[in-house]
Amino acid sequence: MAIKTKGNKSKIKQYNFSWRKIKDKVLLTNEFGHYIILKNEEFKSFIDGKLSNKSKTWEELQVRGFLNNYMDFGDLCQRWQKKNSFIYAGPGLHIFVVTLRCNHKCVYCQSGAVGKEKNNMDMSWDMAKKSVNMAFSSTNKNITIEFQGGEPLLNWDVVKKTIEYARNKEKSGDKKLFLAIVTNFSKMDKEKADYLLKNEVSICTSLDGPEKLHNKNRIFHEGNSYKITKKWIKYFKDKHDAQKNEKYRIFKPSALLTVSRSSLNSFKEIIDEYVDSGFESLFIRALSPIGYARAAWKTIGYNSAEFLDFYRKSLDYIISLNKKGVKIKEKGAELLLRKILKAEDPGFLDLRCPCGATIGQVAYNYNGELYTCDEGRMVGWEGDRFFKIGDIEKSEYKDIINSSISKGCAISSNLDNQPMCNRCAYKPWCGVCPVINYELQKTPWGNMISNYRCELYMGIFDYIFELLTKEKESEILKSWVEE
Amino acid sequence: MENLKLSLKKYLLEDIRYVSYLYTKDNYVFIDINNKNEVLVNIEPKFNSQKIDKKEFLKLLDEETKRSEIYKANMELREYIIKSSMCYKPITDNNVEGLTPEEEKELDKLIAEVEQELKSESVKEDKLEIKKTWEEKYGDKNKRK
Repeated sequence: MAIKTKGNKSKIKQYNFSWRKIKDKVLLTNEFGHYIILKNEEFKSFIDGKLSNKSKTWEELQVRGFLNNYMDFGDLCQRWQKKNSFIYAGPGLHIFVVTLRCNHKCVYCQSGAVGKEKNNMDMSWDMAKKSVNMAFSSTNKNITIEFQGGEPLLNWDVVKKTIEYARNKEKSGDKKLFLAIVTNFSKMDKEKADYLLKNEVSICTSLDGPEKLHNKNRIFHEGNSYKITKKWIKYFKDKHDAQKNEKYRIFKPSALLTVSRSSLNSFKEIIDEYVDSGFESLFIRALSPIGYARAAWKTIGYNSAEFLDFYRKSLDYIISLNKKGVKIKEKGAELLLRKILKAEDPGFLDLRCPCGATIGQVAYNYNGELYTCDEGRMVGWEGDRFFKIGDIEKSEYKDIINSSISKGCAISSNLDNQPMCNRCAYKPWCGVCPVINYELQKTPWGNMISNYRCELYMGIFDYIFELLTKEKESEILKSWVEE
Repeated sequence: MENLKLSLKKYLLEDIRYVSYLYTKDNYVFIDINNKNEVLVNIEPKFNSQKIDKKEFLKLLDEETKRSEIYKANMELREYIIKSSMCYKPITDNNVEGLTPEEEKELDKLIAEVEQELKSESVKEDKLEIKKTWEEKYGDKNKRK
């Protein structure tokens, strides 16, 4: 459109874009995931329609789809499709909660775990088999089955049978199967470890930082959780590093960091712990006020400003380590950078539009209940089955996809329908979570103006773009996605 | 508490509503029709210490007006692009529509026939040998050397 400036009609016609101030500059973004950072005066010239078509900025705006009469449709359509490729795929992540029993009592536990002595909290083999069949009926060609809990190793027999069954099913079909297990390692032994390695199961654990902090967060009465975790991380890492001509691939183990209030002053120690353990990345995730965490929020939680302060300090420290030649990156930033710099979908279901509920993932509860996602399952465990999409005994694939809650989540997490999001400069790469909205604001739509998660991501995006305007920092961030 | 009188000739009601929404985190905002061409926006802080900057409100409203003008002007183009993107099929080696080997043979044969016909028909009239290729006129590169 031509913006009128004091009676004069400009020849510049801008295509839809959003903007946001980043320090003394202005960030412009569009739905193709293109962005440009302009100086204030350049932005003013552009929006007033006075920008010279001979300037370099004009040329860059043209190439990136900001000028509606100079658009390369083929290139832009391809970029849009690449960015949104997940829309066509169907659920790829299948979370099997094989037991709710756990021998840890973590202060922030979101999964609704119960004591290891409890009965009737394990998934039966029959139910696990049906769950594999359901996963393989997905339209997605790549299926990931992730064993979670509770502590999944407490139901080892079912885990083992499920792995065998799923691997056989893979051989007879046209789908590629990936397997992963999230474990606290307390029940790990050499036999189980070697079985998991031979079956190409990715290993993921939790590491919350140095011994004192880790054990404070992850309470374990049968031993030292930190020492057990470190021992097995080393075991799997050594196996990965030493692999030569095995008949199977050995994946590098990964760990998740959960930031509680106790972590806020220990960013250096936490990052050093990860470097010391041989990890090349760590994922700094904020706590979600779901499950036990919500009840204990006053003790373990924080507000968005406190987390963002921690995040910024951590990112600065990681970058300073990079400058010294230490290979470490922050996974959350890397995921965002993949979206921002490469227009890729890194498979991060929390930040999609629409979100990954059912269309990207399904959570299979130990008792056969099916949920939109693991977070939805946790809400179900609290007694509210709002996010339940079916039952493994009764439902077929088409039933869960067509369930009203699956559709409701897709609509409510569509950023075009969100009053604040559809004008937000970070819309091309962001996503909302209907479950967290529901938990915090009593509606899957949420209210972004006062939304905790929105404040978190807004702050993270702000800081990443601030760093992208600095030469050395930008170079380091870009190197994280070049490998 | 702050009151703003906003002309509906200058601003759209939907834009006023949106900017008002941005103030609802810390304030109660009431929008009333004052008269046919004017609305009254009343902003009441939820906390007493809260200050409301009228200029900031108007600045946001100007920005929103520009944003919605651009959005409306691009509505059709945007729909076209999204629809095209959703069914966009990039050209790859696998989906280039090509000829079968039989069809290629047939086509080569036809081209050769047509070339032969053209040659025999026009060779007499081509005194300057314009229609001959370089190689036909001078032989190929290696021989000339």
